[in-house]
Order: sequence, then C-alpha cells, then structure tokens
Amino acid sequence: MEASPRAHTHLVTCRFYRHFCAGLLLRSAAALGQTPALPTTLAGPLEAPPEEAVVRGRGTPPRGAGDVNITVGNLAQVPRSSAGELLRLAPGMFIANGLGEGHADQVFLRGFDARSGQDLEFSVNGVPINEPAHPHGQGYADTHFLIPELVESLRVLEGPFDPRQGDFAVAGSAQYTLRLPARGAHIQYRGGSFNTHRVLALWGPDGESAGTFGGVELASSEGYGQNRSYERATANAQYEGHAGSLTWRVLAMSYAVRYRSAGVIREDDYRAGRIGFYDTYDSTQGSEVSRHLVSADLESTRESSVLRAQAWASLRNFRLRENFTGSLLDVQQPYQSPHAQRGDLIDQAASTVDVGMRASARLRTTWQSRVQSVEFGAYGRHNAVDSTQQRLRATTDVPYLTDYSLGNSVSNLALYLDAELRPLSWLVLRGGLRADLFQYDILDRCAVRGVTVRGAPLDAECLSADRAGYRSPTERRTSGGVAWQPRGAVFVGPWKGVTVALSAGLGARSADPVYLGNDQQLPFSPITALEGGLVFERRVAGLALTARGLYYRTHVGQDLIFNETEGRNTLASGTTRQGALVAARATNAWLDLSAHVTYARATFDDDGNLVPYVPEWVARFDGAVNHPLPWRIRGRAITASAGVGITFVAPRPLPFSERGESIFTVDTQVGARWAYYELGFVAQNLFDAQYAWGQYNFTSDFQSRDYPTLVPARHFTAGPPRQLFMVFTLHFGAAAARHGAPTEPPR
Amino acid sequence: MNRRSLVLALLLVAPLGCGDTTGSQRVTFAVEAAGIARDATQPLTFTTDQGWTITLTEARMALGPLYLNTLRPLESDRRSPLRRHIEDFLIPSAWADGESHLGAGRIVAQVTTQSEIDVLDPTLTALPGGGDGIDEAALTAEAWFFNRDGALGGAAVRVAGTARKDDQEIPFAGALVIDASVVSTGGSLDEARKVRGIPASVTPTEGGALRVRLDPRGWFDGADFRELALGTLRDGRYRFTPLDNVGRAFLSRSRARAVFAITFSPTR
Repeated sequence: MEASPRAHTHLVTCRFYRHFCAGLLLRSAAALGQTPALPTTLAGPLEAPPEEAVVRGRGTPPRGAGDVNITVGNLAQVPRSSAGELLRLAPGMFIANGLGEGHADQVFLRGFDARSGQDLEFSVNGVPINEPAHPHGQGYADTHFLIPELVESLRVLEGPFDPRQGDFAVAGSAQYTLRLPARGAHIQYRGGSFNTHRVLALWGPDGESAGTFGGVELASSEGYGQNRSYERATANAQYEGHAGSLTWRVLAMSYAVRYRSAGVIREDDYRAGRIGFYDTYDSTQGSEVSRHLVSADLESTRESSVLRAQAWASLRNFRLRENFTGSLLDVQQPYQSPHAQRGDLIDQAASTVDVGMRASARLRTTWQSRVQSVEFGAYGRHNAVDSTQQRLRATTDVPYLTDYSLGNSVSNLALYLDAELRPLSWLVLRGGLRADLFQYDILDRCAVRGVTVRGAPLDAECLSADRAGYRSPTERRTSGGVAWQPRGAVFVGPWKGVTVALSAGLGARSADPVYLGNDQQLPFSPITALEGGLVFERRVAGLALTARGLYYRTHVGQDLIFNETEGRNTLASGTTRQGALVAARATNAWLDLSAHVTYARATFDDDGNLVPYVPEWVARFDGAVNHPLPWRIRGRAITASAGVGITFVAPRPLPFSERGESIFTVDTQVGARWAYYELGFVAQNLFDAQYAWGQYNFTSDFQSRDYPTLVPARHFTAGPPRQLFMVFTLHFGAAAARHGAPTEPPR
Repeated sequence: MNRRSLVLALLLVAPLGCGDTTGSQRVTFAVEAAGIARDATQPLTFTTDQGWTITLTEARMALGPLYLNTLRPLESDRRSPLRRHIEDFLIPSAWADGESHLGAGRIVAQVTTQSEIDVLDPTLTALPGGGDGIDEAALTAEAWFFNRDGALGGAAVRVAGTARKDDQEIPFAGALVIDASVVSTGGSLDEARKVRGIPASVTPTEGGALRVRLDPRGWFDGADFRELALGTLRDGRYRFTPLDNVGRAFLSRSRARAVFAITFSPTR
C-alpha cells in the first residue's frame, strides 16, 4: 500500500529524529495498516540522511537515560482528567491536585515536590508556561488550559542536561506537543458522577496536517464534596502551513475557569467526626483564572541547516482565595487596634503580560559518514506581573491586611550553544553551554508595613513614614545576574539494543521577587545534576520494547519548601536528591503497556534530615488495548478499547518525623466504536479508595475545638472518590466514514 | 533482568534508604494538676505582704487551655548599677515589637481542654484529653483563662476564706470573671485572658506527664481587707469586686506567673 504524502513526511522526518518520532512511526504505521517500525536507538541515526530527505518536526535527540519522548497513542484510553495527568506516563512522575479543578497540579518528580511547577519547566508547542513572580509560587505552571485530547506527545527530560532547557528546569522539563492526527470532526459528551458535564468539539480538517486543528471544551461539575464545583471553557487552535522547506504555525489559546476549593482538613477533626472527609472549613475558598495566548513560529529545514524562530504573547489573570491555617496568624500587634482573630484567608491576585521569543539555527555536516551538528540559540522572555496578597476577614471577604503589593518586571534572556558530535560509530556527544541573564525590576507599593512608627495611626498600612521620619510608601528594587550552565551527555552503544548514557549539567531557577533585595547579584538558585543509566530498545515478540534504568543525583543551592502560613513554597536551605528508577514500555498496533518505579531520597544539606512531602517510592502502570472485534454490523467492524491506570505512592515523609498514608488508585475505561459512533464508560478510582492527595503537618486553628489549637497537626486534602462517567462521541469526516469498513486495512 | 542483576540493583539502592527523620517528633502526654504539695488534713493558711493571715476554705480554678512556648521568660536585671549604666550607654536597649513586650514565640505543646482544679487539694489529678505537641524544648508556658460553669459559677477562679489581722477577722469570697471589666485601656479581651511567660523549662516527650501545681498564696498580696468590712455581709461573707482594692489585687495576683509551677516527667 502506498503511504500518503503526509505519512511520508512523518517517516522521512523520523529518519532524522528517530527517537522523537518512534511514536509517530507507530501511529502512522498503524493508520496505514503496517507493522510499526521499531523505536530507534538513543544514539540516533548513525548514518547521514539521504540527500532528498525533507525533515520536519520539533523533536530533539535525547539528552540522557531519563529523557523520554512519550507518544500518548493508545494510552489515551487510560482515563485522565487533565493534560497534566499525562505526566504520569513519565518515569518517577506523580501528579496530585486536591486544591481545586483549576488549580495547577502539584508535581512530584525524582525527589522534588515541585508544588505548582517551580521545579519543572513546562512548555506547550514551544511556549513557556511557568510564571515567574507569580503570587502563588515562583514558576506556577497551570496546564488546565490544554485540551488533553489534543496532546499528541510529551517529552519529559528529567534533569537539566540540554542547553535548550531554561528557567525552572530543576527536576527537568515537560514539553507538550499539540496535534490532532485523527482528522475530521469529533463531538463528545461526557457526563456522570457529581453532576459533571463536559462537551468537547475537535476539528482537524481533511487535507491539512495534524498540526492544524481546533478544539473547544465546556465543562462543569458540582465536584466530589463540599465547595468543589467548577465551570470551565477552553479553546485551543493551531494552523500549520508548509511552503517548500518552510513550515509555519500560528497557535491561539483561550481559557477561563472558576472553581471552588475545599482546602485542607485537620485529621483529628475528621477522626472525631467534627468534619467529613470531603468537607470544607471555609467555603469562600476558590479561584478565577483566565489565560489568552498567541504564538507564531517558523521553521526552515534544509539539508544542512534547520532554522527556527518563534514569538508569543499571553495575558493572564489570576485570583485565588485559600486558607491553610484557619484563624491562627492574626495575632494582636502593638500597631493594631484591639481585635480578635479575623481569619487567615489569603487573597492572592496577579495580572500578567508575558511576551517572548526563541530562535535557533542548527547547522549540520557529515564527517566520516556521520552527521555532526552545532546549534546556536537565543531566548528572551519578559513578564510584567502586578501581584498582591491580602488577608480577608472570615466569612465576609473584607480585606483587613495587605501582605504585599508588587509591580514586577522580570526579564530572562538566554544564549546557548549546543553540539552533537559523533567521533566514533558507537559514541555520541551532545551538549554545550547556556547563559541565562535574569533581570528584575520590582516596585514594592507597600514597602513599610507591620512596624511601630511613633505617631502613626493604628492599623495603618503601607506607611509613608518610618522611624527616621517621612518616606515614600513605595520602594523600587532592581537586581540581576548571569547563570552560566554547561550541560552535556555521552551515549555509548548501542550493543544488542543497549545504550549507556551519562549526563551532567548545571541549571538555574530564577529567584522569587518577594525575597529579592536591591542589587542582589545572583537572583537564582543554582542546580547541579548528574545521571547515569542504561536504555534498552528492541523489538521483542512483536512488541516495540523500550526499557531503562538509571541513577540520578541533584543538588539545589537554595530550595523552596511548602509554607502553610504563606500558602506557597518559601525559601529554605540547600538540598540534595538521589535515587534510581526503572521504566519500560511495550507497544504494538493494538496493545500499549507502560510501567515505571522510582526511588528518591531528598535531604537537607545542613542537618541531613529528609525533605518533607517528597514521596520516596512512586510506581505507575498504564495499559491499553484497542482492537476490532470479530463481529460486524452492516458490514462495519466494531472496535473495542480498554485502558487501565494504576498509581502507587508510598507513604511520604512529613514534618516531625512522620509518614503519610500511601496512595493506591485504579482508573479504568472500556469502550466500543462502530462507524461514526463511540461509547465509553469510565471509572476513576474504581475501588473507591479514600485517600489524601496532599498530607501536611503544620499548625492551624480552624476553631473546631473549644480553645485554640497552636501545635502542629496532620492535615490533608482529599483525593476524589470513585467517579463514574459515560462518554459518547460522534465522529465525522472521511476517516470516520471509512472506520470499520471492509476496505479499511485491518489493525 | 536476571537474578544477579536484580540483587545488584537492590544492593545499590538499599543504602539510600537509611535514616528516616525530618526533624523533631510529635508527642502526646498526660497532664496532671493540683494545688501545692502540703498536708491536706490542715487548712491552707498563709500571710500576705500586708500582714493579713489568710485561711482559704475554697479555691477553684478553671485550668486550660495551656501552651508551652519556646519564648524565654522575662528576667530581672541582675547587673550592678554601674555596669548597667555603662552597657546601656554603649549599647542602647532596643524596642521590641510583637505580641506585647514578650514577642510571639512558638508554641510547641498544648492542652486544649479545660478542667476545674481544686487548688486546696495537693493530690495530682489527671486532666481528661491530655496534651500534645512536639519534642522541642519549651522555656515558658501560657495559661489562658476562660470562665467555666458548674462549681465555678461562670468564673475562671473562685475563692473564699477568712482574712485575719490584729483582732479583725473578715470572711470573704470573690471570683475572677473574664469579661470587659478586666480589659485595660487599649487592650483586648484576648490579651487580658492570657498569662504569658510562666517559667517552664520542659521538653515534652511521648508518654510523659506535664505537671501543674497552682499556688494561691500570693493571690491577696497588696490587698487591704478592711475596705471589705465597710460593705455588707451576704451569706456570712463580704464579697470583693474589681471595684475595691481586694478585687483589684486578686484580679492581678490570681493571673500572676508565680501561681503556676510547671514541670515535666518523662514517665507518668
């Protein structure tokens, strides 16, 4: 059978970046009824591409044993609630979200509690997602604006080993690629537990590449307990055009969500029956978030060079009200009129304008019949963030205290040089040098607060006087510095499918402006990472098999650890992580199995104590089948599919030498498709395990006792109980018209 | 992976799992309270700084909540006058912010139940609910007064007895009630109910016992009971109130740090 021109493009592309395109090959081959090609070696192609090759694609060669390119493929059958949950396919990754449907996922990776993204660099089709100077935490990364069905692949590079990785690549990077290989129109309704409704419409016009698509989503739910409702609307669209060697794309995204948050529950209150597992203390907690983003990129691919340029702009609004400590922190101060506890409800707000660009030129040549290449790249990003944090009176939402009010301008410019050298047929060297310049301009609009000034009126905020007399209530702080970050990897092999990979690199995370002083010279936290491992890639018993095992070690100069009084991560001392992982994935046209187990040990440098909240053991299994049944209706085959995802997280260390509870959940989905129609049933948390997403030990006083509680106690955020959904999908278009027809090639 | 490889991998990973602490530990402990140690068969009699000999027939206190704090207790200045002048000239004292002049400190243990204690009974009695906290050293304690019904009749402390001086014998009774009348100008009720900075150099440990002894012998220092005799007897006793000098002295002295003696025993 002849391959379609589009499939041909993929296949040729993949001759160059085979690793990235392994999944694409499988998908393209499956669509064409061919036996899927093998995923190729980590070392990449050993021979120069044919002269007529037309190379298109965004993939990059791997940078370590922990660099995985994940094509979602048939594992799309495994139930997931968001694009963030796709990260669970990456070795060592655990995702939790107990703070609301639109709250950024809490990410745990290789000993890092990345909270809302501080330690993991997120990008979508090349656009960075982490938000510097965000009031809810430096590097806040919310991926809920992505429609998960549009995520075709995900590259997770664990560790800072690639000079292209930028700010926040501490534990690594997660790069989402949005495409829609299933052409035609698809309209889906999903409804079920807790009055949840979701309508999804996807469109990939026939005749255009998978990079051209549109998708809209409307969703609402009452949520799985008190104060967990949400309403969300999302639109993702991209056009990809080709002209000769030029590929261009325009991406547009729009998203808004309003969600309620239940917050934390004290375990002693739950055990005593004073509050339910899925209840809330404070029903004023919640958030409103919106994001609007456009991006344009150009890519010129020729035999000896690849040139890329991209520019983006986004507007974001964020407001979050949360209360971790009840009524604890509002103690009487000498500069306040007498008051009782007014409550610790935090009201964080930010308005952000984000513009940026990246450009690169990769030049290739052939030496000793082996491809050698070098890349120069530049990156620039500017975030203007207007942020405030106030405290609100309990139940009335009236602000009574301003914690801070900042106008932040954060610029990050970077230059990098990256080379790929193949001195021997069994040796590949990849690496280079990256230099990041961080520059901060911070206008503190409330520079004098919380101090006694003689003669000042009680309860005054943002004072225009200090102990030396009159002063302006505002103060400007500027700071900047350059982080030099060498990064490299060595690949030896493959022999019988096994490649040895060694990687090392320095990374940096920009500093939180809240902690920056004027003229601070190094406004970033340095990171040193090492990794060594083996990767096995071969076809075994008809399955394309990839397996890897590795050891890693990462040191962070100044870490950020969760602080309940701020509702976010705050500055701590240096930390070191080390551990090991094993992972495997086996795939053919109708079966897809993935599993990984990771051990991580994270300790503080100063006293050797464990870093709290970091899970030491994380295990995940994903499995999916998608196969025609032997029966036909009106000549059309019925295709059945099923997926299962199993998560295990060992008890996490908590402050005060305690351990949390383990997490064990099973999610399943079964479905069948006939012609244009597809029906599925989803069970998330199949066995209805009652578990806590987040577990914390800290002090709070939710006034659930007769007298204030002022010592640390166990708190948790509830994970969702069993949820059942029915999913009905209508498919339109040429591909849908052929689905299951006798003329369609067997799967 | 063959068996040898598996064993090798486990051996490599196993040493990483040593040591399992994130710092201090949470603990629970018993709480016991009583009056001062003495012969319970004899009435509690003591003499005030004004020369009044007091015999108490009733002394009850609503004890709890209690908190142990890392805050250092206030100490009197024991420097010689010359040294104090020189040092204060060279290094002036700083003004302190925070909760009153004590600062906020950090609470490491708590007793969040309230119990009625018979201050005249020297036998330690376990308080229901006990206490909890972390195993970090505390330097001071805080007792927060809340009113209590029952025998205390809506007061935080209730007392009765006889005051004798020279040939005068004045039977009296009264109570400490935490309400607006105890709030000083510019203060708050929350501040008024707290007795902070009670010396308590203890480290809570799991399974131990926090012991609180309550000493009423200073409750009437500074009081002149003759003022009470100008009033009228009710049920055979003169009643003091915050408006007379005895009531004002009691208001202050019953909330003094010296009332509380706090120790911790690692075993119950």
